Amino acid sequence: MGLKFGTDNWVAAYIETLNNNKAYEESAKTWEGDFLFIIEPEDELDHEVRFYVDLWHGKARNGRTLEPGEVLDPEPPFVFSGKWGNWSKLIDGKLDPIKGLMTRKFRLKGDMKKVMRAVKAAQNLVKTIQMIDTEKY
Amino acid sequence: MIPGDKCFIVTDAMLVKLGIVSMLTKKLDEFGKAWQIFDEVEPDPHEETILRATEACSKFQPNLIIGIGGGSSLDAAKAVWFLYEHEEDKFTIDELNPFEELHMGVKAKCVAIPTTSGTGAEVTWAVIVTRTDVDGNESKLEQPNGDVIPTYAIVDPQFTKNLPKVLTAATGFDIIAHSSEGLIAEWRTDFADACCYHALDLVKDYFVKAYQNGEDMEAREKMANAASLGGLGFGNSQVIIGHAMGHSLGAVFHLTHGKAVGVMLPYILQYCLRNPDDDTALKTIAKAAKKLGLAEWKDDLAAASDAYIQFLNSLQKSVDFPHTLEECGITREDLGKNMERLVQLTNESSSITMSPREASDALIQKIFEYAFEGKSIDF
Ligand SMILES: [Fe+2]
Repeated sequence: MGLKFGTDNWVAAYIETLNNNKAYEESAKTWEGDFLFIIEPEDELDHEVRFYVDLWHGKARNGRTLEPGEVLDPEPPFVFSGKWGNWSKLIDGKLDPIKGLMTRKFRLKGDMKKVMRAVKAAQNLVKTIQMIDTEKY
Repeated sequence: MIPGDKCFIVTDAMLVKLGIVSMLTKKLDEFGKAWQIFDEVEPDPHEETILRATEACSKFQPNLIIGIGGGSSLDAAKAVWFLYEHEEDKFTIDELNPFEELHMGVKAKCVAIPTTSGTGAEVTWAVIVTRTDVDGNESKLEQPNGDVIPTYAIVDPQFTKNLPKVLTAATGFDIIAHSSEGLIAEWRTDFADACCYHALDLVKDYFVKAYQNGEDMEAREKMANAASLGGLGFGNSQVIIGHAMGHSLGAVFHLTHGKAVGVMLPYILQYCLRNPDDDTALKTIAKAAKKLGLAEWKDDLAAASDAYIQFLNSLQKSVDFPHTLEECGITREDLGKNMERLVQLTNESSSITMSPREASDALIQKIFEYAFEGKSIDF
């Protein structure tokens, strides 16, 4: 049985997996900027799930889930969001995160100038989720 | 008839000199349309050029923006169209990214008229702009967005009749690179496949003819169609590591786009075909070789895919096209000195994320080195 998606244990496993992922480390070696992930309720998921990770030069330094209504100060510079149905496909490896963004299944807010030079890093960041033994909703 | 009575033409000075732009303006006069020309687009247009063109465009306030030329002029026209459309928002080229809806076409529509047969820019979402950073280093920004696909494309071979041999060869190889990379890209679809296959079929029959005799209008027409079909193909399935490496070579060594992607193509294909985790690319290219009549239906995957690579190598010879980076005029010393930046720019290219086989920094470097020496990829 895997870890329940979007729980603190799961986020800890995500951070560990990211830090062991050489492909992510190489592609993100100059990356600076935390990510907030938002999973909007849909189908089996009846509440919003949010978690953030502190990303620095190819490593995840920190991260946790957010309480309902909690506001981070300062706000993370990048926000990646989408409905649960699309997240579910992403977890199963059936939806590529970049294709998901380009087809508006996911949204990404932040400095696009930075993201457009780091598409491979962004792809590896999100695809690492597929490496975790995840229990879905 | 295309609506719009005030046309802003984006092109380069050579096409004005050759009288190609006047073929267009005569028609515009005939139909009583006002026009103004911006003819300062250089190969691999710089951001500053786009901004200058946008300023002129804003002063003129057109309701039609016409790009006429090779990929550079068409990309410039698309970028100008985007910036002009969003004048009030004070957008920069960075806002032209694939993650936003751009709501184009309110102030003006865009017409693209290719005068080379290669980039497919008249039907694609890609806009390539050269940016110089504070240290004077150049990089090629790939700024795709589906909303900047030109409203109309006029594909007429009469505009390509005067294309010099060297450009016919380079742009022809761009078509082959689009169609080959598009066939095995991660986002391939049945519709993109159909476009890529047919583009390759046309190239196989007409590329050398168009190269040998530029006045052969049947060959010119088929190559023009192949370019747009290839554009429709890769515009949907995307290009892969070959274009990532090609853009990087273009930024560092100023190789023309077609030359850069064409010279890399056999190497990156071999690399993708050797993917130990997935044989989809191998099967696809083997099948393409059989469909194109380059291999026998009974051939196994290795023999058929090898026939495809041999086809590329022999085409390179037929159109006097370089087979190695050394033949492109790059020295071993220059390659070594710039390797770190080449690898970095390859990684920064969004095209690399669509590749069927991932490549670490070390492997990207190795592919560049093999392409320099002309060695078949064996890893
Ligand atoms: Fe191309």
